[in-house]
Amino acid sequence: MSAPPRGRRVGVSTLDRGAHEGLVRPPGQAARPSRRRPGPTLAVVIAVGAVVGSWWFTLAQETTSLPSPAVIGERGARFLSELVGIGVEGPTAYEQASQWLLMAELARDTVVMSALAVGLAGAVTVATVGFASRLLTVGELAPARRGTGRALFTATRGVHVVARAIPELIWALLIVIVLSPGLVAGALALAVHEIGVLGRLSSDVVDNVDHGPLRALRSSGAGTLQAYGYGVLPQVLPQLVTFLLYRWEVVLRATVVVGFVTGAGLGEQLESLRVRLDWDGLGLVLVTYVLLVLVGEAVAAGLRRLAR
Amino acid sequence: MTDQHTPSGEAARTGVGDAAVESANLVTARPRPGPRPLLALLLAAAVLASLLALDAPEGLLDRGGLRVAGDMLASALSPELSPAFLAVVAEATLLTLAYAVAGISVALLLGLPGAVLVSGTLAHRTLTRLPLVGGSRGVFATLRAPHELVWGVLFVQVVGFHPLAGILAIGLPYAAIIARVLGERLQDVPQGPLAALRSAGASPAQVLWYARVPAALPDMIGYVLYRFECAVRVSAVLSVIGLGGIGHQLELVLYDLRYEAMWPLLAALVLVIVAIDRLSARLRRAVGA
Amino acid sequence: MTPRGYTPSCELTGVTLAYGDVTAVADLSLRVAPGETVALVGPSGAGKTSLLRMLAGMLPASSGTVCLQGQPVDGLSRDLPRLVGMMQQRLELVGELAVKHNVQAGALGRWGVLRSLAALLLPLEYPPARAAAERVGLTDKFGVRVARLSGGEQQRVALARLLVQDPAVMLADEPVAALDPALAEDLVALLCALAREGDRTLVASLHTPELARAHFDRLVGLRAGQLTFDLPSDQVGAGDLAALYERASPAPAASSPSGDGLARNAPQGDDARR
Repeated sequence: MSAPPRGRRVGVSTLDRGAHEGLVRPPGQAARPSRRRPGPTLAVVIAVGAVVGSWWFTLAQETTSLPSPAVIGERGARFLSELVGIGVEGPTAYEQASQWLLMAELARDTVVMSALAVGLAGAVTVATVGFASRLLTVGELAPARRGTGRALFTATRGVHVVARAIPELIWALLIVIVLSPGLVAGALALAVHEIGVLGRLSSDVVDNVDHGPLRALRSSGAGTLQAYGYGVLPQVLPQLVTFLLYRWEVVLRATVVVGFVTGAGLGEQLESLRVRLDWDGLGLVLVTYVLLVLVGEAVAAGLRRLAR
Repeated sequence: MTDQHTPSGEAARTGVGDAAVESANLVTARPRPGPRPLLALLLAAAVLASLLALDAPEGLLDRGGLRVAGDMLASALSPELSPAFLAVVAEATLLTLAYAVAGISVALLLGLPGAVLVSGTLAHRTLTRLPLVGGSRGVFATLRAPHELVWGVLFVQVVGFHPLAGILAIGLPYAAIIARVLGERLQDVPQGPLAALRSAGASPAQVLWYARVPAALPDMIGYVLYRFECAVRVSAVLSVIGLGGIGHQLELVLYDLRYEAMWPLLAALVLVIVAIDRLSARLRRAVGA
Repeated sequence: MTPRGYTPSCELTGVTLAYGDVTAVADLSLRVAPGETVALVGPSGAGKTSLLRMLAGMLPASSGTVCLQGQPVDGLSRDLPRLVGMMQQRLELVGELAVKHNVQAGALGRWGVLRSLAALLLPLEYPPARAAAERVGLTDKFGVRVARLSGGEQQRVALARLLVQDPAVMLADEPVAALDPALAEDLVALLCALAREGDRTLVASLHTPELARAHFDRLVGLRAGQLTFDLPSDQVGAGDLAALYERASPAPAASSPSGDGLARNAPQGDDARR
């Protein structure tokens, strides 16, 4: 093998790879733009190390010891039977029509909250996706003043990154400080995170639209906004509708958790039943929740098929 | 992406929450005929109906809410950067990362065999494959329906406020999602090489190992890293079920109204997510190109 | 055919276009009278598309001047859409939009932003668009999405869009490259008829000289970026065409040595030069 330096570099972390390359490369030879891969072995070693370290770190932190397997088994069995209503005194939640009605109402609230969130996020995305795409800020359809376009692009992308990186629940924690808890606050928290996700997805779509029709429109006299409306949006919107349907499934699932904090829908009920140790009631909420998510998935899949 | 034209390629996109990893696929895919405007109208109508279903939003803004919001934003100018607090942030970030890594390790341990099961590639005869594939799909669909934190609430009842509850809360639903999505990726590889191997006498296991896995690997790695990113976001809020990490510290500082201390915590989370994103892009390029 | 003492509709004087060390058009001069229909013929890579794109103001010439109605093209940016419109080889329609909107898009240069968005969102009718669609025979497809139309129908949509734009000079780059012979003949006939009806100038590149001779006033032979002949169509002989498509041309695609095998040549147009 004629490349001993390459072999030596296995095991060098990506961070100081640059320095080592400077040492082994013949002087005068410029750095190649293509980056060398860290060997697969290295990746596997790092991954295994991270897993072992993580288990150790999380478990070592803990002072409370895990109950013995027998205790866990016994507790688990008892908890499960309580969830399904075995050994509960009096009529279980499953046997009360009023409880089922309540579930229907809470499920409706949950759907409303998720639809509001997706609708708001979708509207904001349609309105701002242009600012997050290279095409419209620094590319073919950019305004004459490049500085403005670049600044808008950077700012919008930055907002998207932050909105996406922070989970719905933390947004909810922050939003309930400002808004009173409830359905709207929850929808807002979900929407902020979704704006980040959708913004990233759809700005990629905008940057990948077919530029031919755009140039044709421009040469036949269309202005920037007109070219955007006739040449970009028609190509992007169908894709965005598909994204919205996918994300609605995700949001529906997360709505329950946001409800823990902002107090609305099935989530609020789940949290209050947990505090009251009302396990068969909680079981009923879980059943409703799983049904809702599965039905939601089926509906979204059906709508997507309709769209095709 | 050679599978984009097959109907099952479409099925691969139906995984819950795998939209981000799809962005690469969807964008390079053929320009699909758009949905009928009817669908857009339907969605808009659903959102409007939701708006109407709201109660009158009286007192939406909490008393003094705006002032608090102002305080919060103003505190960004003087974030808490004392070494002692930064140490707390670092430890919370590490713990959050550790929960995510441990959770993903469980998800992979259960999810990778699950993916093979869901793909049905090892079962020879239709008679055994259909119930196997259908059954495993049903089980995984139910497992992944509840949110990670709902699983967390349940696990805490059984194992107590132990880290294991958090790790399992991430690991179990993610195992189900990974099994389903990666299973579909394994199915949707180009069929040519498979047929060639089969005609050369390879067993289903050999076909899996020599043709399916290599073809699907870049997508699989990308998807697992996307799930890891999601896992970090979830483990950041494991405080909901009483576990530590970024969310726990955040709740503490918000409870004490120390808004200036919330910024380093949020920044740490954003940095971690961005770093994973970069890592994912690099790894995908390294494996795919 | 070409009277002297008028303002030419299009005029190229000593025009050269070079990409790096490749010369697409070399020191070429050409005048086209108002209302004239001119076909550019020649092997692929001869510079036909480049020439059209320079006339449309989409490509600046490396040297020389390109004038429309006596004015240099590069000084015309605002008025350009009224003077010249081009049907590109790949049509560049928006597949997701209905025929109606694609045809209306020809009017965008005259519409304000609000009106164009309203026309997109509201079920408003723009009579010239309807008339143009009728003229090209697409009345019953007016509300259909362009992606669902056949190649020949899409060609007609592009033509209708050009009619709505209503430029004094119509340019068409290989308008029939993707069509079968019968459809091609129909479309070329339609293109020339539309130009004559509206007293428009038409410059089109074609890879089938027979079609060009049958429908256009004048044929211009281009090879390796230079004029080989410029004659009224009834004076173009088989010898001219044979010389045009002769082997040993710098463009490797031109391979047929005989005059009657011309239609097989250069089916891809000048795409390589884009």
